[in-house]
Amino acid sequence: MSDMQRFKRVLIANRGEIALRIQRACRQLGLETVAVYSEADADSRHVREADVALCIGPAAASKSYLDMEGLLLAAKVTDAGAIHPGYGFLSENADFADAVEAAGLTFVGPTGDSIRMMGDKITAKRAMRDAGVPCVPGSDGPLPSSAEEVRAIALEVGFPVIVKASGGGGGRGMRVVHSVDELDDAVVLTAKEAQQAFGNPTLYLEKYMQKPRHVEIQVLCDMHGTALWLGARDCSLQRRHQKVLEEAPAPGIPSETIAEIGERCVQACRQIGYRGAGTFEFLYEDGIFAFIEMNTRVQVEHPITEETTGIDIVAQQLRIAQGETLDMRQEDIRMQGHAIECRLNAEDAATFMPSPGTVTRWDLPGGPGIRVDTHVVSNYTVQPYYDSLIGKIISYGATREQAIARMRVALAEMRVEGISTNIALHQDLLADPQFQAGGVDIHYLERWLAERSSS
Amino acid sequence: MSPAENQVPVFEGIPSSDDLARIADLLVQAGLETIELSDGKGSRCFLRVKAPASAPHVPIAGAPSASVETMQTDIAVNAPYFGVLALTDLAEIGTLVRQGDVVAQMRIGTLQIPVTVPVEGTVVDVVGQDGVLTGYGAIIVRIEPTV
Repeated sequence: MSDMQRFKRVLIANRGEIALRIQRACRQLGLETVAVYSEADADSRHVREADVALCIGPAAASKSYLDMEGLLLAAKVTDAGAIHPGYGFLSENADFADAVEAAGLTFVGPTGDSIRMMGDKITAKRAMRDAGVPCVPGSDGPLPSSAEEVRAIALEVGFPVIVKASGGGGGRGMRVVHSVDELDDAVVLTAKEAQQAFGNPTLYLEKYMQKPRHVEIQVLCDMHGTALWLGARDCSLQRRHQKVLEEAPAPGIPSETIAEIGERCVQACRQIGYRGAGTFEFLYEDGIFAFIEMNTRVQVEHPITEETTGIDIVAQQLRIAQGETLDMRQEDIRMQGHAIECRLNAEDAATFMPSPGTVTRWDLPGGPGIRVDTHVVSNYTVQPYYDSLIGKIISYGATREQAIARMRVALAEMRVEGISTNIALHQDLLADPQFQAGGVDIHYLERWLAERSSS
Repeated sequence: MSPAENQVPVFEGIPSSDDLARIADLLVQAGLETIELSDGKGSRCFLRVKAPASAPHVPIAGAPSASVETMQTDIAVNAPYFGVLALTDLAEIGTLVRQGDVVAQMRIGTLQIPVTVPVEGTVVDVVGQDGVLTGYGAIIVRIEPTV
């Protein structure tokens, strides 16, 4: 890159596989890396391989990976010019993004204002509706205080409806209401819970889609007005709102339909002046797309889009943050083949309880179309303090069938000892006729698990 | 030594492993973490037990007794924060330091965070390197506490 670089050294404010992923992208771009870590992560691979490694606090995330002031001081003392937040932790914290920029550093991500706008579900939905992104029918704003007016809205939208907390997320602060008789109580109760959990009793209401799929659109935007969409991912296989297996493209949805939604998404990005990588999440049912939320960061499942488009999303994030222009046009982007990602978790196969411990054997799969993103090495100890994601196996094939076949071989090759993993769950899922047919809804996995445990 | 079961054995040199196990059990029962034993002739022994996760005051029958983690005669003074290490004059082997004495500063720009000594003692080792970027929790000096 040229002398025009805004930064030469990037502080990676994260841990685990994504920290390693960011470090790799930095290296390819000739950027130096600073690994900040908690005492529990001292032996991590990206820490050992960083240009500068600095322990910033104890295992508790609040005193390390979530400590804004500490991270800014760490950037200062290590001469980092930019901070990449990864996903989770502070990646969608608008105040942190602002503080990074106020300190004269580059935040690898959108502006604090964009994060703030998308963090509030009501503002986000309004902005999307204004920009022509399809939204689920609903109250289109905070619910009025009058129970009568709420009833009128719900009747117009049509039951079942879902009442949600404006400040909520991740499946918390929401309630499904099937008839008008249940509505008043549900609103009062959800408002009370929202006040307790999020300090904000504001609610909104939407049509409750009964068997939707989760389909999302990846976007990349530079600071010079170029906004691109990179195709769709289907992340319908979820357990307790946590994605388990993702694939790109979304099976059975015509590419013209995705292109139309993609165009609306990038139009919205231009309107709100969005920059960096982002994801528009939709529910999809009976040909209808309904915007749920926008994630203003790189996502766990970004590799499947990288495989189908050949675009290195993390490297592009860094280039965009440098102020560079995206060196491609929408018509240059080819979405080819099919990719699947299986999230590997250190958890008990039956109970899903986390399974921390030392990994005594770690044999990785390989061969054409197989990619493994992981920070785990032999004798690595999975810590109990953080989430249980230990890696991701990504398979790519010319067709969905080939991607599935390659993934099944990869999972059979993978050997992990010392901890429990969900590899067997993925193997069973890939063998499931309904999954193989494609297009299962977001409740499918939980139903499937319930049936399996009762039989 | 033939002390009563509920008494810490008399300190006469390094205790046997049986005695260590008994002392550890007594500490756990008393809800204590550390004990210092001395014989009045300058020999001292520090014991620290790891508290069990649930920290029961009464040992559960059949549960393994608390293990003796380390037997140490000196204590480490750790960095309370990260920064560029600036050792003070006190960070020298043989120096007598008192509780609260500052053996180093962790510097980040103009910000300085002191590294203070928790107990009175003698500096027996200087582990931290002056002028080097040093992480949270790193050992700066080791001190042999005064009895």
